[in-house]
Amino acid sequence: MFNAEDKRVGSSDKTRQYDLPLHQDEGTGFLIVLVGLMAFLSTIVLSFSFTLNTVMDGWSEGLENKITLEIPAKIDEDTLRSSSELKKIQASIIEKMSQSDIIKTITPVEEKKLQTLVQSWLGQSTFIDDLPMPSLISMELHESSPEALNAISTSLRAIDKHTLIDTHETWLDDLLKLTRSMQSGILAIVLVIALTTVAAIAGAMKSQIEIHRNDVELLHLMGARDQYITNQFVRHASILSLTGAFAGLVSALCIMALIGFVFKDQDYGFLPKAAIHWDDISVLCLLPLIICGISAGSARYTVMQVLQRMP
Amino acid sequence: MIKFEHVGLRYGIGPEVLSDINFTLEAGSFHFLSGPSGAGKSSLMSLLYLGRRQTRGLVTMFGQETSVLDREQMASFRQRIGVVFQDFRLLPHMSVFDNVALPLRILNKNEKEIRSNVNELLDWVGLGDHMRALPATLSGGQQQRVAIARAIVDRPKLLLADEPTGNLDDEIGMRLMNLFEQLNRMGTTIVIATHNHALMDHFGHSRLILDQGSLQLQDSKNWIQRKIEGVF
Repeated sequence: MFNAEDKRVGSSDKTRQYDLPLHQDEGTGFLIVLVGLMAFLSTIVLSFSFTLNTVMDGWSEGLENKITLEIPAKIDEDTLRSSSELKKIQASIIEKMSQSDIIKTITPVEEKKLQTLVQSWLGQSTFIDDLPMPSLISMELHESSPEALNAISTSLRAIDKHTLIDTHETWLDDLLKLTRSMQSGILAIVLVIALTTVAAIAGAMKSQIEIHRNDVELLHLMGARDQYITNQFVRHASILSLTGAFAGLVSALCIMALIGFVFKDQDYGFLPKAAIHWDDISVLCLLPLIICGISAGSARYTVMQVLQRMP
Repeated sequence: MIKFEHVGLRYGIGPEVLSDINFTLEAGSFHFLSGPSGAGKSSLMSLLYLGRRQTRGLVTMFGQETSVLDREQMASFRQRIGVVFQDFRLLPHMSVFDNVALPLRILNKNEKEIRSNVNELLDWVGLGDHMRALPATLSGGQQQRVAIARAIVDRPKLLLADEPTGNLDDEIGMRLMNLFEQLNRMGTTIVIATHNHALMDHFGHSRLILDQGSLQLQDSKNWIQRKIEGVF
């Protein structure tokens, strides 16, 4: 009965988009850009949060069951032990500790590596050679328990009472607290972005209802239920936000890939390699759907509220 | 079917545009609504098509008092009413076909049924060749026929038409009035607001005459008979 041309112009529900010409409104492009920007910012800050997680995991896992013995060069204000003296104490400790069955591995930290670590904080400087550098021994225990640490401490006192045990707990706790605070900040930013998106969608929907008020009234007079009219706005908001969010996500991923490419050969010494896992990227890829869901919810609530005030 | 009891309507805090309106329209009856400009015809029509709620009095439609209807019930009631607006109120971005199909789509009718009904109706009103056209490309008379087709496509129980023949030539106007007559014979209650005395005389249905917001006459007898009796 109907030819292809009939269907093309809208005599078939397959081609009919909306009863209301929402897709023709001028604000459509602006909303896509706004949601895109929100998605871009969300992707960037969430990626940063995921990177912090990776770094925290690196710190925690890297130091699990590991302790460092520090044989200080400077004992007090007047006494400075020589490098050969430190090496002698280091050798004694390694020999003694190697016989202990609570220790898995024991490795002396080479002087060169120690200088590299210090350079990460102080930079390249000739003064580093003049610093009273301690001697370090890295140890991995089978299990880091208070009993094991007490046993090591007792053994150490017999060799050199000035040698210190560093379980890394103090500074690791501080770092973890700092990164967790940063993640809370990021969560707050994401929340603000989500609320801004909700507000923007709500504003856009109110404005579109106002623009199409006569047509909305007409649909009501024809017997259209609020739900029927609302669905059209929700579908419109979902399509726009999905488009914008997808564009924002792709842009952010491109920018991050570029940053990753530029800084891939950089080494920051004490910092573990920053990276985003594929799991995290798959979570980021869900972002457009999440934003779409938020937009749809916001649109549904707003439109229903406005429609219920209409006759 | 429709009963107005001491109905008044005012906009905001202004004076009443309709005051103390009382009438009853039986199911399957046919009425003309007439009166000078500014008499309140459009306001009365808006109460009839549930576009507004009265500010006083009782309006009973389809056996239920309308002021107690919730939004769901209101939508169901409106689905039983077809309206031809004076300014047509066609959706300009939609084709003629989609405009006429809209009430059926709101009712979620299947597409096959929609195509069949709309196609037949558009042929009947002489717009079978224009179903792909946008309203803006049609003449006033053609737009009016689209509006009429849209109002009757779902076989409403109550059809309200505001000057439905105003932009039509006599032949098309008569064809449409005959269509209204047919619908009326099938049980649809019809109210037509018009200034066209010739039309009212020709069809002789009862008249609701409004003047300055008050109903001056609900004439349930044959108009010609009343005229013969010298009432007017």
